[in-house]
Amino acid sequence: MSSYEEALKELQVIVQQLQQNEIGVDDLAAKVKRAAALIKFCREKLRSTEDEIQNLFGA
Amino acid sequence: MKAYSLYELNLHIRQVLALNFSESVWIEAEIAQCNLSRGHYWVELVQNAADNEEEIIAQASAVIWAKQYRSIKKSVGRILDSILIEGAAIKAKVKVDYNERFGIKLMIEDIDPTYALGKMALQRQAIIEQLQAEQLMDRNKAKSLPLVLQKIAVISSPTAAGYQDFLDQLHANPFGYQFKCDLFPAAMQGIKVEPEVLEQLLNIGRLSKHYDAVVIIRGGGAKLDLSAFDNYTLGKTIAEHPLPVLTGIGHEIDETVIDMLAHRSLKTPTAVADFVLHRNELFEGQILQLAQILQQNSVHLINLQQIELERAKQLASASILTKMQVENTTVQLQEEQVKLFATFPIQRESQVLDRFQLTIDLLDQDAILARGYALLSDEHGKSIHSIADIATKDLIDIKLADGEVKVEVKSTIDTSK
Repeated sequence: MSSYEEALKELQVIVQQLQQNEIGVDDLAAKVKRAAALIKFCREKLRSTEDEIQNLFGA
Repeated sequence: MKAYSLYELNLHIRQVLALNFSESVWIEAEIAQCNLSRGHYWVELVQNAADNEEEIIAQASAVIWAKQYRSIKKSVGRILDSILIEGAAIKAKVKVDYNERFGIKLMIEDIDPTYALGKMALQRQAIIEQLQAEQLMDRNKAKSLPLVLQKIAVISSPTAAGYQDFLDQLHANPFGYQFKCDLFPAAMQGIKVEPEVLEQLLNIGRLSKHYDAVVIIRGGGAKLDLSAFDNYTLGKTIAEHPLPVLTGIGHEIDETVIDMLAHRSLKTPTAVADFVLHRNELFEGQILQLAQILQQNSVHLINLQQIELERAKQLASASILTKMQVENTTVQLQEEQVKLFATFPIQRESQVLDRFQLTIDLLDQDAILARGYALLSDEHGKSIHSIADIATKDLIDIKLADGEVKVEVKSTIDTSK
């Protein structure tokens, strides 16, 4: 996970899968967790300087 | 033949010139060079061949004395500085001056700004047409602008008010977004605009992977002030730049060539900052909306699953009940069968026992005696079963049901022979 573009794309895929009933209850928790991590990543990255990002995410 | 001294010749030339150029004249020329020295402007004027821009067909040195400059500036205004640049076409009122030692010099007394403006407009149009012919107009616009703009290479003058406005607007955003803005300083007006902005564009081009976009900003100014940005080389470099370029170099009505070539042209530096902030805000809004959809759908999915589960549970318990009933019936049936079949051997045994009883009853001595039979035994008590055991004159005990008789055998007859 390195760019906003990638994060958004992955999020959109997860939402689409969910809307098209492609996610079972077994996978739901993992997918939602992943989505939450993506959203958190983007929001924190928006509010961080580059140095902070490197510290936060070990990029 | 009398020979004149050089001084005499030059003095004569001066008189001829003074006689013929007693009045000032308006001339049109291009500025080849312009240097400011102690308040005086030293200008090299040239005229190029109409069919070949490289070929100079006329050249003259000119000067605007400091005092004259102040008076011209008063009437023309601050755009004068934009006219007095290399490459600018000017219409100037000049007085031809001749000095015996320094030769001809044109004293510039006045400058027509409308001429310069018109020339610039024509020049600008030519630049645009050339860029169009090279299909560069939409080159930078075709670049994809990152969803979030956060690492920004700024080309501006560190002292420009617009630069500070841009930083203030960006950093004071209410969302807490952070930005990394690196200044690549360049002159934002005058003759140095082209080489300095060009150099920084190329510098940023080499560092392009570290940035999301290039921003070129400066405060507004007179239209002529902006003419430096009506530049072919800058336009082409922006068109071919690896990064999307945003501009905020003018005010309301100004649009320079580089504005036209840029990915996005905003009116002011503040507007550029707003554009950047708005774009990032849109992105965050987008992911938050996705988060909401995700949450709603997850909850919906879980609810559906719970309903499904509940139904399955009911279905399961119903079927278990039915199955238990079936089982129950089977068990009952079997139980009855077992009961039924279990009586058979008992009945059979009982019949056997009855038969035994009968036999036993038949064999019972008392019963036999009661039926009228008698039991014989010898005098030793041994029961007599055969005629062979009896001889005449033997004493025999006869046992009856209700008493005994002692008799003496008179005779025997063997009936078996």
